[in-house]
Amino acid sequence: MKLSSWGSSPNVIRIASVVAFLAVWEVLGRRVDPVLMSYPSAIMVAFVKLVASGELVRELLRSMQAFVAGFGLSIVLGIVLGILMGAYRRVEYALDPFINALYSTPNVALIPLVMLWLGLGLKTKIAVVFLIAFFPIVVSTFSGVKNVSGSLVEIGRAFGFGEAQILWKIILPGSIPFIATGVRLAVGRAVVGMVVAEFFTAINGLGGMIIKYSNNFETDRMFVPIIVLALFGVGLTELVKVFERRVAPWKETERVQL
Amino acid sequence: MLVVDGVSKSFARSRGEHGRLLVLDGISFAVRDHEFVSVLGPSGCGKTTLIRILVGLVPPDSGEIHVDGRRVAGPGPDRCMVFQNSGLLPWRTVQANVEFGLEVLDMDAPARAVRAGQYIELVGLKGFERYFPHEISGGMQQRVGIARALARDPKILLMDEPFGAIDAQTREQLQEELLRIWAETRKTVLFVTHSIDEAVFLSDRIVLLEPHPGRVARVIDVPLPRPRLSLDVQDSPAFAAVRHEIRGALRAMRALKPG
Repeated sequence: MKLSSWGSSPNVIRIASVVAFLAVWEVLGRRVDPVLMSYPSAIMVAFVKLVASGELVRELLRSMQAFVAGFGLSIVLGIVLGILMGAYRRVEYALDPFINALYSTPNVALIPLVMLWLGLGLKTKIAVVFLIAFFPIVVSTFSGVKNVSGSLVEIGRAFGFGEAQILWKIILPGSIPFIATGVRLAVGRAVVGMVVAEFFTAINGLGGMIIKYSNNFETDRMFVPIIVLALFGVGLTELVKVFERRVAPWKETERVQL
Repeated sequence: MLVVDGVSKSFARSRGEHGRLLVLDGISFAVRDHEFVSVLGPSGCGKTTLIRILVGLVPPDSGEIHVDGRRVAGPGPDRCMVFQNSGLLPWRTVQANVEFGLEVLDMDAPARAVRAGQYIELVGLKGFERYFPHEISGGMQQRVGIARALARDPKILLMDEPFGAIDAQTREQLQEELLRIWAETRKTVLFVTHSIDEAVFLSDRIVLLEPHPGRVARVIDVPLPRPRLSLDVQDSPAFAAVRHEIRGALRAMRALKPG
């Protein structure tokens, strides 16, 4: 292979860029006060120690528990409510003021209230993840149902299908690309919700670890959960993209970009 | 027999204008069993509105449709439609799209699969059962649309400019295929088009509509022998004569209603 084609391969450029970044960070990071900044090799050492002590895995699982429960709940309720709103005008008009108001509110503002109601434990974290992830899903599902083209619905009618069958066989499958987009948008927000809730409650989870080590000025250890969260976020987003392609392969060329 | 008896339809004008727009004005004609009839006319003559009324998607303001003496009051199993741009469900495979129309019938899954398979073969798509619509060409998509309608085994096949968006070479091939399928299945076909050549090549008779409002201008017989092959027919004097007659009629219409 010629040098020029090596130099233009996207992944080669990506890896070279990351390696260069880590090298510069290592060199510069060692010159800074370790309270203010850490550097890659120190973070690696801290990572190994936190894995060995079992703390990282334990807190990761705690965070995951809240994430899975809250996100699962927002997917189920978001899809069901979105379909009901899209299919029935009365449900739409009854609910859209609340959905629109809460979708526009920065839901983080509600965390202190949720804490007052539910305390500092798992319930609060689940509720916060739910509050933040639910709205993009319900709104996308709703617009998906509304956007299934009238001509497809008409085809159902022409073949003699009733309203319920049209909903089940045409409107629901037709809105799957929108639902998948809503889930993709919600995933990133749900991770943010999880970490912010843990900042507030500051007892456990990856967010709790960040607060704890930053208060102790153990900056190298503080970076470990941050990096785990970054990897988690990237992995989850990729997973959702794969899911999106699987459930709606026909939308490849006209995927909803938001 | 399909009888269209004095069908009129008007629509509300767009906002700011008064009155209603008369789209179809007293359309009457009949299609005999096993006959291939085209409805031909320029844009604005209400062809699509007429076929939507025939399927039963919209009711006429006045007039009636009868199939074998029974009045049409909505979609029914005796009529099936092939849509413009095929109208396939993009999340279903070829097989599942053809089965779609059967799912409303009292038919179990294995029977649906067998029936769909037969019609997929009839339209020449054997081997493409598991493809999705976006993976096959426009011409193949429209074959699926035809198979989907035929699988319901309707008496009458209603076709709304099915080859309008398809390139000329593929279209010629599909027209010949359609005639072969029509001869094999002995369906009654009502075919809507704005192409003179297409109407002449396919039809036994042509219902020529004039626009604004849509009215039957003339019904023209096409005395070409069957089976018809594009290459033989399109250059024949008889074809040219019918074509000439229609063009003359269309020209006369334009002279009466400029613009």
